[in-house]
Amino acid sequence: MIGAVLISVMIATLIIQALIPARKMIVILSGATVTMTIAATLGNQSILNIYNGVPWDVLVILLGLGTFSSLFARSRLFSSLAVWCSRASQGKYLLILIMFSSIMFFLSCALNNLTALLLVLPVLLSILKALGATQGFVALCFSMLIVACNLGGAATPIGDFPAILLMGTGSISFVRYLILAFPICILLFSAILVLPAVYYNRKGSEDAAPLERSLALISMAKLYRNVTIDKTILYPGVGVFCIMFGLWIIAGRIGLSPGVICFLGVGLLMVIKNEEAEDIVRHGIDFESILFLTALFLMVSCMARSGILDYIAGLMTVYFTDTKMLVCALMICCGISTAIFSAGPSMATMLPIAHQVILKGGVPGETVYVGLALSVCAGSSFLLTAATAGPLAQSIVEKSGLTTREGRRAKFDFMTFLPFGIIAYAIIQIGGLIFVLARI
Amino acid sequence: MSEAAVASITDVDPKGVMRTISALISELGAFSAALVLHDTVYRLAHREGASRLVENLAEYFPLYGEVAESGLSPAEVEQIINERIDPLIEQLRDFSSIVVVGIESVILDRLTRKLPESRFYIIPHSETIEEERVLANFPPNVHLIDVREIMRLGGARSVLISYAFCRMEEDAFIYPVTFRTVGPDVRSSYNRIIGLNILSGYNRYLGDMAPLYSTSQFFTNQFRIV
Repeated sequence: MIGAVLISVMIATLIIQALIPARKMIVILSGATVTMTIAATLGNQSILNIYNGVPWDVLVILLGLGTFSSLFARSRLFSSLAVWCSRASQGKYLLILIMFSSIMFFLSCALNNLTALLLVLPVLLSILKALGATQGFVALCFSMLIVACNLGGAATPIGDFPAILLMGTGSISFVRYLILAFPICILLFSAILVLPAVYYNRKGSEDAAPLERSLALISMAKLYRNVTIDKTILYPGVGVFCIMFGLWIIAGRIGLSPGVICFLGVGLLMVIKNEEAEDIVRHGIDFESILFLTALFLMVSCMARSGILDYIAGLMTVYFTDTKMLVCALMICCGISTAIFSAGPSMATMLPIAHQVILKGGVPGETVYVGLALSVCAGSSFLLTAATAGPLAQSIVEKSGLTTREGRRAKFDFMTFLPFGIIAYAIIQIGGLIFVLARI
Repeated sequence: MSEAAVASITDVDPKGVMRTISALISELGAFSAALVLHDTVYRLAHREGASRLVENLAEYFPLYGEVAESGLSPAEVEQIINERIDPLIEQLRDFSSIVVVGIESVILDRLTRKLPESRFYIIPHSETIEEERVLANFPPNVHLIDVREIMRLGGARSVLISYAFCRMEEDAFIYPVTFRTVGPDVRSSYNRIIGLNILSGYNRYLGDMAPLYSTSQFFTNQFRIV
């Protein structure tokens, strides 16, 4: 009974925060307060136990990786890469699409999506402004960037929240996740990238006139004429990151948790680049996301201790007697709930259910966890509002004042993204299901 | 180069070209952008292409027309600027605050690097700039300010610089924002108001700039740059 109340409060909280994003912090914190109050007073749960149910390692890793992203942003690495992409694309639309999507994919593998997007998008917008793109290309290009972000984030255990949650809770090791997820994500990314390329070629759209292309390229060179990578920031950052990467690979053998490794790495970086690190900690860290996730985890912790999640897992194993059907149902539920509630709430809630399903169903845990991460990625790519990157990209495009060749204001909104989102969701979800079914 | 080849490069929609270089005009300056355009056309279609494009484009970008008809190649213009900027640099060494109205990167890139001890405050001539990107191209002694801050930066060791395009006797063209910065209140606050003359005489009305009559009343000193 208490479990049903707790889950109702959580669902209501998630729906309200999705409907009123401008008030999402107050909604989630209120939801966490109500949940904890109910759990402590009516459910006889100890507050200490509730706190212990929060995966603090995950929050530390998110904080640490956020610091690294901010540091790399200050080194001007992202904008330099984006400028290089513009030059290498020779002002050809298809190459712009392919190169910028690829850059976003690989950056998202290691660093915070939002920071990468914030720094790469202005460069992309500059070159599109200079060349003059059609509305169709704008929609295609930015849609592909969002999906590339999501897939890159799912490809490594440090790329995005779901993967970090899996690694941080000890559900799967760093190396195993990388071995299982990276190849499938690269494959899915390539498959999705082929579609716009084929579509664009079939449409027979022409590139800009030679003079406009030359001017666009020289414009980019001049607008970023003295912008160089700050090696005094980049080299120490890369060095420490590589050390952390190596330690994550051998984490199990040396007996250090991923969170502690991240803590050590950030600590070392703060000593080496103390001035920049101080400024980043004070002004550059996304504490709002950390607070949001903490509130979410507290709610999930309350629910987990009430036994409601075990009950749901039990129901699923009874209803879906076939193991493969059970896992597919779990993954599809995860994908759909991500599309509605976003990755954080979805993964945080589904993971404990997945634990129980794996135990009861006797299925290979690592495969299911990676499948879950892929489903979250699919859900994040379904609707523009499903991942934070979507509204951010929409906002940046609107503020840029980008106009199309036809002279109209370029649009990138929920409806522009939807057709691409449906296809991306289908490909990633089906790809994830095939991956899991082939291994079970 | 064949007629057809030249035409394929220069028969473009002028609005498309203006869209392509609008960020350059805002963040590099009209004259600097005109030089970039002239250089690009020169490389792609040589002199024939440049003169053909002037006919198409001068209505939308008159300063480019003036640059193209000056008869100077882009390399020559840059060389002239580099030579003539040295006396200006010597004059400015005594000033700790240098307020510049408008951006012309072809001048400012050199000026800001040759005077690292001075603080430069640049008032952009366009509102549609990416401030972080503009600042990233300059050394740390450069700041972007709003025109409303101009009075607080005045003083005995402060100088204000702006540009006068296509000066013909007492008439010239300036960035519209310059009008707001050279009133009698500003003139009395700064040690000097320096005008940098870029191109002399004009064959066409620079419709995207503001006409300035009695130029010498605005500026206490003038330097001919190009």
